[in-house]
Amino acid sequence: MARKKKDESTGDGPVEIVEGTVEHAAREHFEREKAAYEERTGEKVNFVPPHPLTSTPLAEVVSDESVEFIESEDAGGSEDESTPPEGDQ
Amino acid sequence: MLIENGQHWISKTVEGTYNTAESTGSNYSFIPTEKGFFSLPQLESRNDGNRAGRNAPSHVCKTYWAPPQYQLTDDAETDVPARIFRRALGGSVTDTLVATGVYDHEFAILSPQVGSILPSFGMVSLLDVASFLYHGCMADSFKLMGKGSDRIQYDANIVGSGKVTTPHGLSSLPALAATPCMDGFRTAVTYVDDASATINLSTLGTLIEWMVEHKNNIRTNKRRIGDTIQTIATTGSGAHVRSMPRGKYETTINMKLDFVDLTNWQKSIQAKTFTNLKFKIVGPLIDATYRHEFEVIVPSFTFETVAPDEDEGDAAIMVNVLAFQDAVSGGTITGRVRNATATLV
Repeated sequence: MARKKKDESTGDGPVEIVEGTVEHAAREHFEREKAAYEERTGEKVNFVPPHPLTSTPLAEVVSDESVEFIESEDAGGSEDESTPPEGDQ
Repeated sequence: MLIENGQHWISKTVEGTYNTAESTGSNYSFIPTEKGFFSLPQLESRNDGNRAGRNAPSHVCKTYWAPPQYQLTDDAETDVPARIFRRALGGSVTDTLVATGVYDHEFAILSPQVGSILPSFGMVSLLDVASFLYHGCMADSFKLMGKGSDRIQYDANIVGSGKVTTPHGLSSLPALAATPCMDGFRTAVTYVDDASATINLSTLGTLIEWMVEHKNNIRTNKRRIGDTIQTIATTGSGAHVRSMPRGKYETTINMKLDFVDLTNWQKSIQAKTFTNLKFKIVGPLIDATYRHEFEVIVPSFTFETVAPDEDEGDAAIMVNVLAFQDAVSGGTITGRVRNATATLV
């Protein structure tokens, strides 16, 4: 019998949480937020996330730099480009 | 005295214990704001004027210190406004070294499943003898607005618990630092459509104005028996709250675009889902390559409505963006700030 593909909603029970999936990223995010919240507030977080029914591969990350503003040569620059203002950290 | 002389500071740190504001003056930042104001704590009261047999009150009973409120409006940039935005979303911050002296700070909305207590901090207000340190402050809302190629503006509401120290008692509160020039014309607004194509509204030049608002609906009225009683000026007493949980948060996003064709309207009625709507405000160079950046990201969304609008006689459309729950962070929006400081608290 052919196995069900992991990126399909099975509807009949939990699937394995594997690296590189949205579900894995979500679980990691939750654990990180939980730890940070407990440290900041001193409150214990008791919520247990339910086990996912699907396994969805993470989308490819599109580089942010590919949509950078492209400056035309005659656009000039802001007066502070070469020397960021004091206090500009 | 001039109201313009009112000075205000926000702590660079968050409270370790609620209602215990940072006590070192140098750990505060002067808040840039174009609208002068000053602050006086308000004590709520009730009276007996509405009792049968009375035509007017005979006395008042003081009850709770009203939650102090700050409304701040100015240019969006990567120092104080970025701090307020990060605290409004409330999630933890991931700091990344991009290059020597260049840092990225990424954060999401505090998940309701994790908790409802947003980061709290201290605020100081000073105008002559009106000198107050407010404890237990939280960012109740944060709004970013862009219009034409003007500098992007932010509008934030901060509320406190009512706990106050007067005079503020802090020394060496710093002066206003020069803020980075976040030129409006550098702003980039992009998203990925249902066909996985990146739409760059800045390149298209059709974006007239936009707005992103995050409201926390903080419960400032969570009053309980046993709340701390605070006395000011020897006899003026009232209680203040000991916690202010976030309510159900709301995110509102819209964009006004030049009317070009029916594509956006068609995608709206087809309920198409898009991803990674990014409002990126770009500032001055940090080093030879990298610039200051302040970015709001909507991981998943749809055009809920596309309605006819107008811009000085030109036909336009108002696109109401409905942000979906992000599958990873669980929230509607995330934030990213790039600046020259190692952390963003």
